[in-house]
Amino acid sequence: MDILVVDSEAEIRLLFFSASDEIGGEVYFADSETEAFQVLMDEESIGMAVLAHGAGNQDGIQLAKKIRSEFTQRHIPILFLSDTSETQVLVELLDHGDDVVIKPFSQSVLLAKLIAHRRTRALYKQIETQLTQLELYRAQIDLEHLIAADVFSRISSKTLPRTPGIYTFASPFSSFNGDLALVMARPGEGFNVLIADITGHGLSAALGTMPVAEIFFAMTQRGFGVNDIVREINSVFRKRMPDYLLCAAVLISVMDNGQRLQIWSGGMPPLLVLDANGAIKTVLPSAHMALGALPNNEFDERSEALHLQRGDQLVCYTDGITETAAADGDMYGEERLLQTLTHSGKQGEALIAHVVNSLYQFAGSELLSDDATIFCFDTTTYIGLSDFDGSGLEKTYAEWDGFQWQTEMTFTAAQFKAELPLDLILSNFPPNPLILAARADLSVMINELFVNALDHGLLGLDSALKEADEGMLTYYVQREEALTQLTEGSIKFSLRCEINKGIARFYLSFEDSGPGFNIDEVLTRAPDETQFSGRGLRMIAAMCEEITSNSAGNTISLRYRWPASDSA
Amino acid sequence: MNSIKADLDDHHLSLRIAGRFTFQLYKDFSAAYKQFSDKPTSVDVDLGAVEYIDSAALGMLLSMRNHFGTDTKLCLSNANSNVRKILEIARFDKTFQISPSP
Repeated sequence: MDILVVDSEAEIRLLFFSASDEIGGEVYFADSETEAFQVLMDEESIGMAVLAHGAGNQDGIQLAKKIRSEFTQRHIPILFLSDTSETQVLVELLDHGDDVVIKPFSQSVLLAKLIAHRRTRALYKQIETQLTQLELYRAQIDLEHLIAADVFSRISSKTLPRTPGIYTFASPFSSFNGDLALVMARPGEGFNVLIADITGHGLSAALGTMPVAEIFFAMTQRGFGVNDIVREINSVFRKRMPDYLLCAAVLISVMDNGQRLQIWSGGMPPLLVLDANGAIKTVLPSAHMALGALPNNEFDERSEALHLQRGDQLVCYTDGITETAAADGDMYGEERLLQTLTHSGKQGEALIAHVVNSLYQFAGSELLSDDATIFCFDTTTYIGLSDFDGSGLEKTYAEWDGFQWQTEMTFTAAQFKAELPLDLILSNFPPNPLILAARADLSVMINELFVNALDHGLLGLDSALKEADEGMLTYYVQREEALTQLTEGSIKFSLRCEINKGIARFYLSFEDSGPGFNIDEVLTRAPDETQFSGRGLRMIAAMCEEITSNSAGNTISLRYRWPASDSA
Repeated sequence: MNSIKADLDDHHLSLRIAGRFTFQLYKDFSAAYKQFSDKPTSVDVDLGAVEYIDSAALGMLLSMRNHFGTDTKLCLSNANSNVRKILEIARFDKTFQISPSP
């Protein structure tokens, strides 16, 4: 430890000088305040200042104050060498410094004091280093939490906002907690729902959610069901994630107007079905291990079909709900949850709010444990397909009265060579429950009309080809060839939707830049179930209210209503 | 990620299709039922994992019927209500057995 000595007595200087070996560092001497400051500034290694205080103009206290106010970032203990042993002076000195030695003193006392201070200083240095490190770690962790939260919000941004009949609650979190609740409309009918609980918290859990959510969204969009999605997630999770990371999950496909659920459940608490009276009707324990637990050849993707009746509700939750702890460490538990859920007289959103309230009351705090997620599928408020009777949904419909939406897109040769634009069109649909419910028919109509405009309008293919032996093959070979050669041409798509009195009307039109063909001839042709050609147009004619074409025959327009009948 | 699985077991051919059943599956689908040299006496097409079906797929099913002839029993099974609606509009119940029956 290097020290600074501000004392002009030659005797004292000699004493320090001769003791410098024992002190274990350099000893710097200064005569004035200016000199002392210069030494402190030049020598960062100074670990102690020894200041004389007493007769003459050796005002150690003044100097100590200045050192303290000037070198705030450095820890420099101050040792006073005092001329007097007057109590009042000593008290004042200790007030401004760390220690006092009264002159005259023996060298051994001074050395002992200096060594003691050196020890304290070493400790201080160690703590300082550790604190700096801790701060660094904390900044890193804060950043990781930010990244995790950001990753998570990107992942879940694709999930549908509030959808009638499908409700989730996830406890607010300070850092990402590893629970996922994702909902996406399938291209045809219904929705896919994923409730997952990934082991771990923060960044590691957020990492795990990435492949799971990506696969869920991509495969749902491409029309895959539960079995195929869980198999893919399991396989990718095993490939990409360390083997101690697991993903407990429930995947649900809502199908057939919400009357059939296809469910795969692995490593999750049991799913509960409540009947219209709020009694537990079915308890579905997880049939599988968590995703990521088993290799592909042992993995079982089989799901169960659950048939629901009107008024039934399905509840699914992660273990954070039942593991919510009260102040005394008591857990909320399955029994309390069942008591809260049954015979509550509440449905859907209100039922979830009821459980959440009960959790907050039980926990007795502002915050829940950070990984509590609960999901409810409510058949009463769910909007299914157009042939659904819709009773009891008048309120939901009324909310959307006056809703208008339209979109227009033009596709050029380069675009539709790559792939059919159905996904692009569907992904632009607003999350309006009536529009989502109508999308099953809409996607069929859009697809058929698009293929029609492309095949016959732009490529000039003749459907009659399909009638010959191996005709389909010839047709598709010709189609592929014509498509590669196509360099110009465009197809314009427009869709307008108006919702009034619970009825959504859709006005769809496709205009191609081709020469046109005779649509009436196709539609009035005697229907023949075994015929290959003209099937698409006749199929959509059966689905919509009106289908017309312009005189040139290059634009087809149709009007479609949802629900199809007046029963709603 | 579209997929077709085919299994021939004691003259019974099972085909399982997942995802969108559209003209893009044309080659895969015809390859799947033409790969076995033994002619099956019954064919079951499991549509349980099919989300969406277009008119070209209906044509492909008809093609398959033409390929096997009328003495092979053809069944379309597990279609969801959406797919089933298309099958009904196209009156496929006349030439295929649709199960569970409508």
